[in-house]
Amino acid sequence: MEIATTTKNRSRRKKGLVQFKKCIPLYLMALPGLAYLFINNYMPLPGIVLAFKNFNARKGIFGSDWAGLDNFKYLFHTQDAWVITRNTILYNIVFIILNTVCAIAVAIILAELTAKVKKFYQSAILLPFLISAVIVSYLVFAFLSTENGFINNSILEPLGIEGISWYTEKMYWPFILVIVALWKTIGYNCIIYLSTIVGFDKGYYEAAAIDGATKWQQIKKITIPLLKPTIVMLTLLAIGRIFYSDFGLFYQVPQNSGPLFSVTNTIDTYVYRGLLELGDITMSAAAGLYQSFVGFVLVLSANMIVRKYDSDSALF
Amino acid sequence: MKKFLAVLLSLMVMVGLAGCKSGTDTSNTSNTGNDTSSTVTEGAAGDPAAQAIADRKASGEYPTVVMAFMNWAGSPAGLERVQGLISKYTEEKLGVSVQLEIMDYASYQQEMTLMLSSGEQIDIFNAIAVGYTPSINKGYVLDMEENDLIQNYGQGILDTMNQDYVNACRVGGVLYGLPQQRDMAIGQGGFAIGAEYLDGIGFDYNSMYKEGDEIIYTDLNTISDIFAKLHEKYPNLYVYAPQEASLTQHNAYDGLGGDNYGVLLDPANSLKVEDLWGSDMFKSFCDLMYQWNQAGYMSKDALTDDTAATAQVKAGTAMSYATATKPGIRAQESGLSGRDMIIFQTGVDFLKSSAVATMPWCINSGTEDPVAAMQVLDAFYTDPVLSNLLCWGEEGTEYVKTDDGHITFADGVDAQNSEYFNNVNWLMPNQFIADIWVGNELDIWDRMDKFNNESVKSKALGFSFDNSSVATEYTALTNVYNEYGKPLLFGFTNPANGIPEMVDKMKSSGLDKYMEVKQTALDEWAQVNGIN
Repeated sequence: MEIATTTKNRSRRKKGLVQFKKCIPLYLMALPGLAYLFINNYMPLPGIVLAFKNFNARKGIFGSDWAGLDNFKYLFHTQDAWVITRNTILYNIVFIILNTVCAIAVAIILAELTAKVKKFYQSAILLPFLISAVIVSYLVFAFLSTENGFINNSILEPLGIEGISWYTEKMYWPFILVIVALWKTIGYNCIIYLSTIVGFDKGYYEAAAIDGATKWQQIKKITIPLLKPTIVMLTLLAIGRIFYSDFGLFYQVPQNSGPLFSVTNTIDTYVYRGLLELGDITMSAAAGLYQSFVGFVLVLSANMIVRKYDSDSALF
Repeated sequence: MKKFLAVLLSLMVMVGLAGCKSGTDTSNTSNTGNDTSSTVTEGAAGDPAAQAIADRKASGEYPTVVMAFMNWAGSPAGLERVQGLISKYTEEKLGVSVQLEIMDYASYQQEMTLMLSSGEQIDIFNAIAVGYTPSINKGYVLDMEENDLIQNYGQGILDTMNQDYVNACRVGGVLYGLPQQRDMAIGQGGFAIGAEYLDGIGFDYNSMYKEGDEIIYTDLNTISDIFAKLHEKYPNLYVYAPQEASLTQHNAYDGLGGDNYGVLLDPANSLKVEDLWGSDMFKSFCDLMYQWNQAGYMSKDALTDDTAATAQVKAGTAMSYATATKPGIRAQESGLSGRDMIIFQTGVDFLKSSAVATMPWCINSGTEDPVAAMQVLDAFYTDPVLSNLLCWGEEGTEYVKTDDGHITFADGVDAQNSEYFNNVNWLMPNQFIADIWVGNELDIWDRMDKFNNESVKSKALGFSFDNSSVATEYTALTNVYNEYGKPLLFGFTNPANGIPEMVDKMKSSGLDKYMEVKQTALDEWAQVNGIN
């Protein structure tokens, strides 16, 4: 029994070595990327201790006194803690679902178009993603401004409806934010789906067409099932960032308007507003660590669930 | 998966070790820095300042002192040239070269925090935006009286500056920074209204001036009457452009430590920490703003419009705004608004506890040569040649002297194309000894001195508050203020509902605890300083 295991191990190791030699050029190609990843993502990791320190420049990062969990307290201190956590998670869940559905729909439509038209539409849909959040906030403002806005002046007024003070009425904002976010990110999100769809074997569709399948049936029975691993992967990645929010969207687009806070305040904006004047590095490090930690746990557990039901689609 | 984790962990350990090593290095360097300072001080006898200069000149090696501050437009084009002129002068006078690091306001805080925490060479810096108390808590600043540094090498500063103002920069009895010569008091309840609009409604402001004044002293009812008439005559213009700063400019409370959570409502007479938000003072101000807003004096988009009030007046969309007053205010506001502005004042001149220590000059705790840094700082406080160079640039290139003793732009130079026009002289160590720009009276600094000295002073002058033990409450309170403050101050929320809601949320965010900690600190400070 013992001998059998060692030989098995040895042969496995030998096989691994051969495999490694075969892949050396690939490893070399990956080297710059890995170096970047190491410098950018791993080297600053020791800085995490800042979240547990009482930072003093004279003593340095590692010499500073320990603060225990004091730096985290402010995240959970008030009733706002519940509001910001709820906003961050609910908005992200809505974004994940709508983004996935809409991005796939757009990708399928784009894949059906001829090459020339496709390029035009794809660029047009991608464009909003490249616009900075500050500019987006003013585009939105052009629509929603109380005195000069498009909606109040050109839509509501001709209909005889009194103008709405958009930036003080919070009931509209969950919808406004979702629409803006969708408009802004859909072009980017559909790229990966589109490139996957384009890579599918045309033979499936030809065979289905010969058997008399309609377009809808082709999409339902061929495209979606083939897309499943991609959908699972992108969704898992999105879940990892469920505790982060797009700062520009939640801070700039509502123009930092106080009356809207209960529906626009997320973890990122709360931390930004609270620490803007305090300038406390350790408290912001604590917020960052808390967000990544929850994201990490969520990705691991989501992946575990996926592996249980469909081990091929799981990330690791 | 396991392999991946193993690699990850080993990487983390490696990086961790590397990080620890660099950490110890930093602490060693700072120790060496301290050692140097003490040997120099011990070696000096007689006049240590002259001795230090002689030693430097004898050695033939001139150390460079790096001095950092902010302006509005970032590093000016003529920086190298002006810095060269300053260095030439200081090398002769002190045996030190000077390097200026000028950053724009928006990036100053972040860049300074990075530079100070990473140990880059910064010898002298201004604590504006970075924050004085945070700088002290994080150990960025040097105790200026360590080994009698300021007594030996900065006596000129102590002779120049009012002793009360120097003492107002002490935190826990330790002098970490120095105030500059500027307007310390705030003329409360000021309004700037365009002269042409007042003419338009036939308001006779000329007869209201008392002799020699540039400000009309009046009351809020007069202002309300003017606004009503302005609105009637110019219905298409906004009467009043609201700004958040009006909270401190129009309410003579003392914010204690620069925040508004726990304040002195009667700062001239009492050291009792009270709640501003639930006070009658705040209520009546919000009521007035609500009344003005409902009357249609303000833009409906004011809440989200960040355009400066002066820019709105300049563009001709608004007619007036609130301001803090001081000597020279009429020339300043008229310049900013691009039209003649008439200044009204409805409150007293008031000097609050934190006014002096908001933007002190500090020496970095990591400096290698504290003596040279202190001597350079001393020279900027006392030498008119250096102060002129720092404030206005090079004579003949940036500015020229006029016949009546003012200075103005050199031929062909204006605010846009000048290579050195920082426009932050109130931040410079001593603008009082520099030349005076055309448009200001030649006696402006005497009047400024009088204005500061005759103002109503807070009893807590010099108290500063370290809120690091209640930082949790502070962030929560700041968020509550951000939610309710501006809509109330701009009159968009009815104070009858808005204020109770805000106060409730403040209380549940720990306002009482914050105030209690503040009161304790204030009582301790008062006892140490013999104030009751």
